[in-house]
Amino acid sequence: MPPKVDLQKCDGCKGEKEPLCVAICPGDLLMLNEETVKAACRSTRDCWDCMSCIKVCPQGALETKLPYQLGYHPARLIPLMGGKRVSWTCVSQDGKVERFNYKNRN
Amino acid sequence: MSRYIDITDLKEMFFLDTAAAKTAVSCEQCGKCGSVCIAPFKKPNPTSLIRLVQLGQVAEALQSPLLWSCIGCEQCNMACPNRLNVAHLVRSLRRLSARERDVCFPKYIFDLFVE
Amino acid sequence: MAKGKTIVVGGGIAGLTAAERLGQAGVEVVLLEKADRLGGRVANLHRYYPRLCPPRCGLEVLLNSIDNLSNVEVLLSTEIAGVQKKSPGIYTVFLRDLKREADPYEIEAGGLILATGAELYNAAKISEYGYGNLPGVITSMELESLLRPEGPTGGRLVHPVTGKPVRRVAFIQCAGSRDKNHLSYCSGYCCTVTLKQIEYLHRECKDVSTWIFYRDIRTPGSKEEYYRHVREEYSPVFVRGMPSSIDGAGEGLTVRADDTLSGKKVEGNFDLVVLATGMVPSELPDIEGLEKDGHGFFPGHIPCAPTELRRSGIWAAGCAQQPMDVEDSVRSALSAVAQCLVRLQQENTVYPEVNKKKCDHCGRCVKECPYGACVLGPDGYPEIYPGDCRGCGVCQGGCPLSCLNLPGQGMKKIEDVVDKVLSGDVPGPAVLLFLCSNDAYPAWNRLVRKDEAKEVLKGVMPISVPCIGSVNMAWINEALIGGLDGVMLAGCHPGQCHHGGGANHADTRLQNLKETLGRMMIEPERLCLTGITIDDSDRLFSEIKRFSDVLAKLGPSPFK
Repeated sequence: MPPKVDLQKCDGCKGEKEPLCVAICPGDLLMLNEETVKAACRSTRDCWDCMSCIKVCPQGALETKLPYQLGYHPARLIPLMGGKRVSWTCVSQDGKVERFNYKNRN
Repeated sequence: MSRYIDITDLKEMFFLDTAAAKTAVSCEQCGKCGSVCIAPFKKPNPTSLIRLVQLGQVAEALQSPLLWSCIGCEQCNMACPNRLNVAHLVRSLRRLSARERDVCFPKYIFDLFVE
Repeated sequence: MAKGKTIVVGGGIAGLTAAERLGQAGVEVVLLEKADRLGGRVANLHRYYPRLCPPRCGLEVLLNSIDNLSNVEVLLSTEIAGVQKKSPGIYTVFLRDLKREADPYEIEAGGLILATGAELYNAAKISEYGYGNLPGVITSMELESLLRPEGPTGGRLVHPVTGKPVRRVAFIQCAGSRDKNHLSYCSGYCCTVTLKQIEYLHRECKDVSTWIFYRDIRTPGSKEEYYRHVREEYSPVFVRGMPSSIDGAGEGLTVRADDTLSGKKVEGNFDLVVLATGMVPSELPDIEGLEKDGHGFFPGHIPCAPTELRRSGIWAAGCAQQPMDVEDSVRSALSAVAQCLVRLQQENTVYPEVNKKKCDHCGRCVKECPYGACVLGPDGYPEIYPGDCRGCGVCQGGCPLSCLNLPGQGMKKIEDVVDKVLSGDVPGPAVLLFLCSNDAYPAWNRLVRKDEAKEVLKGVMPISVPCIGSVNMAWINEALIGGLDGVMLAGCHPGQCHHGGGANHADTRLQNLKETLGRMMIEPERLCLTGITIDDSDRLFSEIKRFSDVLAKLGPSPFK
């Protein structure tokens, strides 16, 4: 499921030509809406949920919904990027939370 | 004797509304309203009237001939460098003074009409 | 060392002083003046107060000195058309030659002193005093030029239109000043100017009588002595009350006012009425990032650093800062010169390093830097000029990839704290506490010395940062994932941050992170931002205590 942009939190990377999410998307699906200066997904069907944009967004303004094969609507997967560590939080549709901490290889 | 007066006192003790009380406490006594005033009886002039209110001598202010002689031209408001509503304060005082038992429409104004 | 010339904009007393001093120090200076001669308003003055000496004497010294300095270039009839940041430490300044009416040309500048000065408030706007319609109503500046030997009457005190001798003069203070309909501020110099003019009118001619209509006479400092001297020596009539209008119908000018001290009407007939008008700042093209106050002046960071503007390498001097008299203008010009020389010679500055391997040119650092010290260089990577940077670290806090770091700051410090927590050494709720080094850190230092605080503070790990805006959210993430129970940021109160918006940046970033944490089923209360002033160690203590209690209630970190 494609990334959803929180328009309150997104600041369009302060009007930069190519914000971080646009630069990082491997499918070149994200773009900057010129009018609102917020990120937007141009072709929602082509997104394969790589989560790169979610991880890179400095404002935490992007969120993906899990594909329905994995979990229905309230289910979500959210990364939190530290320096050496990255943590993934998986919330299932009935509110069960699981967290996975990994080493970050940056 | 004067006592310290603030905006709450003016509102609660003397029943002045917020706008009139704000005019009284914010006035810096520059004297411009007094010099533009065209009322026939400037006793005291508007600046001094505001001063009386500032000092809490509202009873004395209510006896002022100026209250009844103000013609409501609002020149004082135009002149005020702090954009205070002086005319409104005068009107409020006049309304208050009409409520006092021993203040009635003054004779000297009445005489003006007779002549 | 900064490259490029230093440009002084404005050839008034402040600009001349700045250019001359910088020239003497061996700096390459370009002095710009819009008019076709140097000296500004001071050149039209008759006398300075308090000594009643002619301004020309000091002016000639400056002009001669500038003439002899080969490193000071003077450009007359030249106006500044715009300023752009070119590269670190270098501004491009666009100049327009007013005589040739050609397109603006550009020069490079390492520094700029804005001594653009101020103009007198247009007295014609004060309609009740009839300036422009009544021939005897003049401004205080016009009285100055009237009395100069080069003036329209050859320096004699006669009416400028009728030529009759002047015997009765009225001064109206605060003409258009301290008035919400005109200038809401006090220009601060007009009272002393009027006193000076009264003194030389009385000296010039024995039988002159002078009246002053005033609201308050404001003569701070030693000028009070001058006020007393004029009052005792020349006994002008002080009327405390503002006139409503000036009547020019009959012979002379009639001024009526209500004297607020006696409550009586006062009326006088005068040959000349002098309006003591205030100052409005001269127009200047907008410079990106330079904040003016509500009136168009550049007051700087008052009170600690009045010369400090939001762009390094640009200083304001003289009346561009606020209305000033000559004494203050010279003083402010000298302080701008001092700042300029410091910048030219300073070597050991702290500025962030850029990790080019990680950077992906997003430019957030450039946008957020409060001083414009960070620019994208020709290779596309951020470049920071040490002389421009004031070490606040707002760029380090905003960098999404944590590739900008001040020396001694960065992820390493957080990793050390996390290792300490993971090793199990920290009792109670483990709190990471970021402290602004300006205010909160000194407050913390005093707090840790207290015995009663030790029990509460044992789980708190402090990290000092130059500004709370320099805390990167990745650090907080790392700390949370690493098992810390909460993170507290102690910065300045919003509006008191020395770097302008540091506390606001921290607040926005923290709000965003709190929202994300909420979605992750982590209590947003684990993060908190608080404003601490330097003397607030008690409040810092109670805040930490409150925060620890909240964390104890929430239980250990969900990441543990």
